[in-house]
Amino acid sequence: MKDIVSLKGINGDVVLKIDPNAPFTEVLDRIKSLIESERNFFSKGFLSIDTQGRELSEAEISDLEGVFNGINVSFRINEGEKVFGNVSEKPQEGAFVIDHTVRSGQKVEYDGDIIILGNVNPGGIVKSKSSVYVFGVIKGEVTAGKRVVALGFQQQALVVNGMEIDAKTPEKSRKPYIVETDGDKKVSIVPLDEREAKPVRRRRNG
Amino acid sequence: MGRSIVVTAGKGGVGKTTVTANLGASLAKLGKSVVVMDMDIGLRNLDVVMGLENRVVYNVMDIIEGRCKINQALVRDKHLENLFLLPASQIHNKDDVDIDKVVDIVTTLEGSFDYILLDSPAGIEKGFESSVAPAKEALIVATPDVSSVRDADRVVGIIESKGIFSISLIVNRYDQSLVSKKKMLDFDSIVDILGIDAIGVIPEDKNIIETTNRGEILVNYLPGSPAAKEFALIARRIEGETIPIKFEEPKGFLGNLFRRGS
Repeated sequence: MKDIVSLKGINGDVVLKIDPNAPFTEVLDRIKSLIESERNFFSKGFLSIDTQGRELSEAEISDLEGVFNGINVSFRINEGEKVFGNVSEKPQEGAFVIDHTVRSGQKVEYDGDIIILGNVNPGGIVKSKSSVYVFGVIKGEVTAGKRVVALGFQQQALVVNGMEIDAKTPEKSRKPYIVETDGDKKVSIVPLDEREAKPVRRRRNG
Repeated sequence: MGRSIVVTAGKGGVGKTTVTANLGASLAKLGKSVVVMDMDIGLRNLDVVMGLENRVVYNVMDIIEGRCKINQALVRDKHLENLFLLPASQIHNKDDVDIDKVVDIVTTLEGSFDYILLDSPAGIEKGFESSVAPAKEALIVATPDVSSVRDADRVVGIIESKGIFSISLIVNRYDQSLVSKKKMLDFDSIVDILGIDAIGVIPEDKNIIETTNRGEILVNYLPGSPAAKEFALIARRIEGETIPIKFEEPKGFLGNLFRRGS
């Protein structure tokens, strides 16, 4: 049975997801018991509420305010996808899968996601308006609108969401890194396994 | 049914012609019947490298333009009786080549010879295309430097897109002492980029230039020299033997010291 209310760490934010159809009184009860059991999620003092499309009334919002102000937590309510940047959980139509290394002189261009089962060699070009996922090392040119994941970044050129990225991963490293940008045009290049925000476990202070 | 193999590189000057001649001779020494075909129309070299330029009567353009039959154009090697050269024309250029007719010629040769080695010109234009079209397999020659490997990568991509998937790498002019000092690209880096199996690593060998200028094939003239030995191994690998690739250490400082003293 799906949880009426759930807590998640996404991109460094704490997100409270609310089931769009459950009665609001139940939602409120669940939130209150979560506050008891998952104190660490609320210790940041701030969270985002994802109503998953559900519209909250003024009364409902002030109920939430009452609950959260009591524990010194402020919140914002999402406006659909905008708050969470480009993380869309809808399945998209077909990615373009290239099941070989992109060699020098070869060019792959597609508006949607591109998946390369191999490297992108120097002189090879991959362009997407969406994301590019490379199961190998990028040694050539990659341009993406959203994000790029690869097992190594030794690029001749890398442009993500209009920004040029010079940072490279260590030459022998083969662990996956992800390059993405948020709405404010800040670029991050981090190992994929360091990406999920882990709840901060702090001691309870006075 | 013969095997038609194109020897190509993209980059010029890496040793395609030398490899074609020496590999052809090595296969012939194993008892196979071989035609080496010069596809560098207008800039022919295979005849010079084999010392056969004075014996050339007809060339591939004469066959294509109907002036002679195929076997009238074949020139037998000076030393190996089952090695033949099909020369290129020196007065035409690559635009004159009718690719379909070249494919016909190679198909005919496949009926009577074990191996047809096509010596491709440099580049990726029509000359290259006409040497790849008739081939069912490819040998990519690359020297251990970034330009050559970049070009080789391009060529592998083009050849794969034409449906040839039996593609092997020959690394030429490999100098283990330079590699150890990190002054030269190492074998693993080359294979890492190209992603094709290597069938041989030919060491830098100063005897090549001398034999070329003499019009002799190294494996005939100096079969004990380092490069000649590797050509012999490559021929056996092509024939199906599993022989691991090893890198020869060149003679060290001490070796030279003793020789100077004697």
